[in-house]
Amino acid sequence: MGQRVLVTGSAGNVGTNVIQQLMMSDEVDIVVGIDPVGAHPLKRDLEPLVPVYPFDLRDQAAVLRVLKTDRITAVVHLAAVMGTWVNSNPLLNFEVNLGVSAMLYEACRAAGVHRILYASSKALYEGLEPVAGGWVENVVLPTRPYAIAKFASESLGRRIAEQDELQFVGLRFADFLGVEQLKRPPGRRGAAKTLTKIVAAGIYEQPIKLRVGADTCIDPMYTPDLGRAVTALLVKDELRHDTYNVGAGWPGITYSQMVEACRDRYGSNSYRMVDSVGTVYHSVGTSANAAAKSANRGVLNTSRIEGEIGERSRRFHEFLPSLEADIESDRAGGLIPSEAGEWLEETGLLALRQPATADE
Amino acid sequence: MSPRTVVEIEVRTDTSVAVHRRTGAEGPPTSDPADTPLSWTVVDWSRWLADDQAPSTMIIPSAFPGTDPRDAQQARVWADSVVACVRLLEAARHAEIGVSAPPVRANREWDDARRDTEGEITEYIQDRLLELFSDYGVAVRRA
Repeated sequence: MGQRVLVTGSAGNVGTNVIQQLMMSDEVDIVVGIDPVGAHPLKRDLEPLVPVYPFDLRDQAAVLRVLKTDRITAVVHLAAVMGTWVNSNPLLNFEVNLGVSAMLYEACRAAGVHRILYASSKALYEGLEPVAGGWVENVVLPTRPYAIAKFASESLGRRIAEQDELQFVGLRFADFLGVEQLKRPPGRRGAAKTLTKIVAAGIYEQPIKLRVGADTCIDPMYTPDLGRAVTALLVKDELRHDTYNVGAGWPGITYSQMVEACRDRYGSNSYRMVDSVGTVYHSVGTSANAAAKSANRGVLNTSRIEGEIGERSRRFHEFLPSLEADIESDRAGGLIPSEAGEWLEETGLLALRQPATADE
Repeated sequence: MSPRTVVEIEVRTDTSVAVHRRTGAEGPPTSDPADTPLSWTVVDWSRWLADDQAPSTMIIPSAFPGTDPRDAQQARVWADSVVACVRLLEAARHAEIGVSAPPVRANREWDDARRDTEGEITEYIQDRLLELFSDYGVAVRRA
């Protein structure tokens, strides 16, 4: 008998990819989603594929009803409030990122769910140096609200699991790129991340100014690969760890190297790298990783997934053609808002319409 | 000018709350005269502060109620308890009221091993929360 899976935060960047990959697995019988967002473009993409229940996860009775009615065996808990703004809204952060998790865990136990994959956060690695070739263990010292709530939520899940048949697994995702990030409405929080914009700028022939450190090293992952990794962890009988870094693996890639790869592919007019290590990144956000990034530290050092599921996630150079094809295809199909190009220049991170001159 | 009051919040293991009030720092604590039953996990501290003679300081316990998230029935309570602490600190922040808490540890170097037990995790989180709200401008004292 296959898994019967509930995905929370199903209309998010990760959620949509996880659901698509779960749907393709022979070891998954049914997939349902919960996401309270309204007419969201990603949700519209999902709804022909799977039922997406529209209620708020704080409605514990409704969650329990879904778990029991659909006889859910595994939950991928991705729902969260996130973004730099969350750190200045501590109450909302804790109500959702900890309180909702606790409610969900309780409901899962009551409904006999046997595995929870929980989207913890790489923010828990705040301030840690990468350890090349090794795994980052659970040595975490979170100080920001988002990371504290994730830490508390992860700790809670792990301790509940110790007392029960329930298996709890914390996932710490790397930075990721995917076409879905271009489908979000302009001006919405959580819109396309800088990494995806780097590629989109080449395709859209949109000049782009990166106000992050050129030598900042990251571990970017293609979102369908991320969905595959989560699916693999979900269907695998035995897991060796209770937390996983989900990334393409160390060594990562710097922003400079990403831009170089795109410059080679799309031409040079779209890109200008402003090297501002340690300065500008602080001014545009207070992400838990900002300090580590600006200090040119990797955030995730390697992926535990490789050894576990026997396949390696693609590196940036390897998945770039696939991402490009996704963007071209969805753009031609009218699935990416036509104002995406305009929106690229509105973000503030990416400000130059004209190719930069030497004195800018 | 009337003397400022200090309230000491006692959170019992069943999450009920007793508020002990004293005038100034030296007066003997007394139970809240209103004797309003409060629940730590649901009390609206903003409203309570608005209704009360605004104290100058709220003394909060060293950790959250003695709940154990390893007990299935307590997991939700534990999480709610953490959220309640945030709610209190937010209320204090907006009302510009200081918060006093017992020192968590003399040596504030936490490591994973020391967070193995539930009490340590709870203490750690509260410690981080107090530090966080101190950054937000709340006068936090470790008495």
